[in-house]
Amino acid sequence: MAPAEPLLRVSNVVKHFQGKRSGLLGRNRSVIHAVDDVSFEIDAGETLGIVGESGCGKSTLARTLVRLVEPTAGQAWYVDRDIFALSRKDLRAIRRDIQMIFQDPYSSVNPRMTVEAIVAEAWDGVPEAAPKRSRRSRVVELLQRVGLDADALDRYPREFSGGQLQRIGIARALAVDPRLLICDEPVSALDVSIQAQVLNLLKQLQRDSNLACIFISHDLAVVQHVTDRIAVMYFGKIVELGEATALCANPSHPYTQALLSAVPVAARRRDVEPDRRIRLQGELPDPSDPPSGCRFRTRCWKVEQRCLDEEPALLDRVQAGVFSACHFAEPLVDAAEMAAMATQPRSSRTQTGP
Amino acid sequence: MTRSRGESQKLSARCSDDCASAQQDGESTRHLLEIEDLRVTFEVGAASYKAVDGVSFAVDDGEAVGLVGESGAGKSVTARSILGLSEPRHLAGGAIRYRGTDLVPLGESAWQRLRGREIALIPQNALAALNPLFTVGWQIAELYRVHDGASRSEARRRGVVLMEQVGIPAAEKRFDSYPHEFSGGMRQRVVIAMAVALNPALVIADEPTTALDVTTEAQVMDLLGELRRERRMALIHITHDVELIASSVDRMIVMYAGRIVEAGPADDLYHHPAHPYTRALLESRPSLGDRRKGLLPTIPGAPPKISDIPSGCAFHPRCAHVRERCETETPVLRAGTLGRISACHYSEEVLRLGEVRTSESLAASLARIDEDA
Repeated sequence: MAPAEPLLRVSNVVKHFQGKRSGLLGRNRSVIHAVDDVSFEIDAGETLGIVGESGCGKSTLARTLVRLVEPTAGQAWYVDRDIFALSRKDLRAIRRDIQMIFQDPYSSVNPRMTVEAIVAEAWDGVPEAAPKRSRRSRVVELLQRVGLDADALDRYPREFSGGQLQRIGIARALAVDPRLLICDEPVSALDVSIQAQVLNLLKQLQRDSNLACIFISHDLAVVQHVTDRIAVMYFGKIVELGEATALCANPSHPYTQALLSAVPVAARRRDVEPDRRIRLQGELPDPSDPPSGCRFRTRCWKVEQRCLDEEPALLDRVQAGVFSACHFAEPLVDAAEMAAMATQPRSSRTQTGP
Repeated sequence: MTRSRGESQKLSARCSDDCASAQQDGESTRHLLEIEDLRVTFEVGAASYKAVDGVSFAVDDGEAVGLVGESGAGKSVTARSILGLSEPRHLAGGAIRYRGTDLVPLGESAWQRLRGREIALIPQNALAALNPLFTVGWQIAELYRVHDGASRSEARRRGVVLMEQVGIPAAEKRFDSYPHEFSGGMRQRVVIAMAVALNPALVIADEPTTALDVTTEAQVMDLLGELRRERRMALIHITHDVELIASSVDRMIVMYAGRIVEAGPADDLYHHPAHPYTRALLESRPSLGDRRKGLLPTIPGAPPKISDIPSGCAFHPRCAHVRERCETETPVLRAGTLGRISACHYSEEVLRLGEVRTSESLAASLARIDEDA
């Protein structure tokens, strides 16, 4: 661990949802494993990317950290306090430090409020943060910080584009001087030409105010660009975690390799034949009935008996600073070789899932 | 691939009806689809808004064309017009020629014979496109029963074969499942199956992978490519993601504010764009393997609203190359140096900027990965 205390230390977070009822009179209730035993740390000013496909638990994880969703188990230490153990009153103080930015800018603002009211609403819970008299000028400052003019103050959300609304959402988050920003797919709903504007804004804000950031996205290229470290999630677990550039250049977990291989890259056209890319077979397993051992084993081309029996721990197996949860973690060797392995599971002893 | 029984029946049908006269010309140079000066206008009260403003392009047999643009660019409205789904009162002008015959004056019954059999659509939202009350198999088989007059058992047999072809596992069993019982990727396979069921000569895919995860998206892109090769279909792939289609289409057409701003072979356009908008769009995307962590180049402002399209070149308020001329004089789509087609007064200047950085740095990093191996 770094000598300085991390800003946020998340350990063994679990979130299970109640699933469908079944059996006689619905007495059996399945359990959906959304997040299972996830741990990581974030330093002040650092950006951590969380990547994964829909249903992998990345949004649920983010929501448990501000207790929009109550966790099932685990701890989340913000400096010296466990967020999960706080009373509702103490939670308010923490929420001032940890702010969230949502994916859909249209549904995250109230259409019947003016921009000024939307931003100033952030101070409702913490009146001491901005005296009433100076609020209007504070809102103007915040709008300018996110690249909007003062004439936006008295306008309504419908008058703004998605990119501008996202800026308003960011201004609202910044109003209470947070130290950690949780961005859940902040640019996914925006037009391509607007995404870069918002990404740059987030980057500048982080640099200027030493903001730590959890950046959740399914877009690997975006995440690699804006983050210092990346956690790759699959089926409720972190399967690989490490420095962003190193992880993308040299992934060692088969899932990360498949994910990177699936990213559409135009420049590959001449270099890599289509059949030399890794294509995952099958679908996500049933979330109420996770596979034994490694959760990726039902779709993995490296699967052996050990993967069924023993859950792989997140360890720095291949390169220092990159942690991988695979018994057979190895660097990316050759795309063709991997593709060949992908079509032919290494072992015929094992039965892959249905 | 074995050709289905409907194939021969269908090939003869393809040339019947409205296309008959054109077919007799027997020209070999004729395009499969030719759109000329298409204009689609929406009237709201006294105002009239140009959603598509003079779009012309052609698609040849078996060719894959990417139609790229951001929201409001007019790409989906163009697609709807090609499928005869734009209301006639909105069609302000232009011709849509399919195998030489103009489709614009066709009545609804003629369109119905054409849709699915000649030109088919793969929609973005498969869940909305499928009827939740009927099994997936019933909806696929219906195509064979209605269009080919197949019997129930025959339609079922062909439906199962088709489901297998698009990679739906246990097709015989899944035939009787309802749409909600399928995952997003599998549902997209179902609507793809329905689009190709009658072996259309042209498939229009409107953002077919936008709602999907990357690994599923890759699978669906592979499937589209396979089907296209096997069935020699032409494809118009509509997307906002240049990167996604650059390696799978032959040509790309870039739209902005209802007009085509650039068109050309996919590789050329991707590496050496001739329009400032295309270039800026490519540069503003972070790219995997790009190790630079600084700020991204951006396009200022936002795509214009249809009610407020700037004068002259619609892109001029956001353009890095803007001059006075651009504010008043609308650039026409013209062939410039290197045979590049672009609607910019200064496209030569844009071309001289050289290769877009994303591809360079990426090629370098791919080479590095190869070296490491």
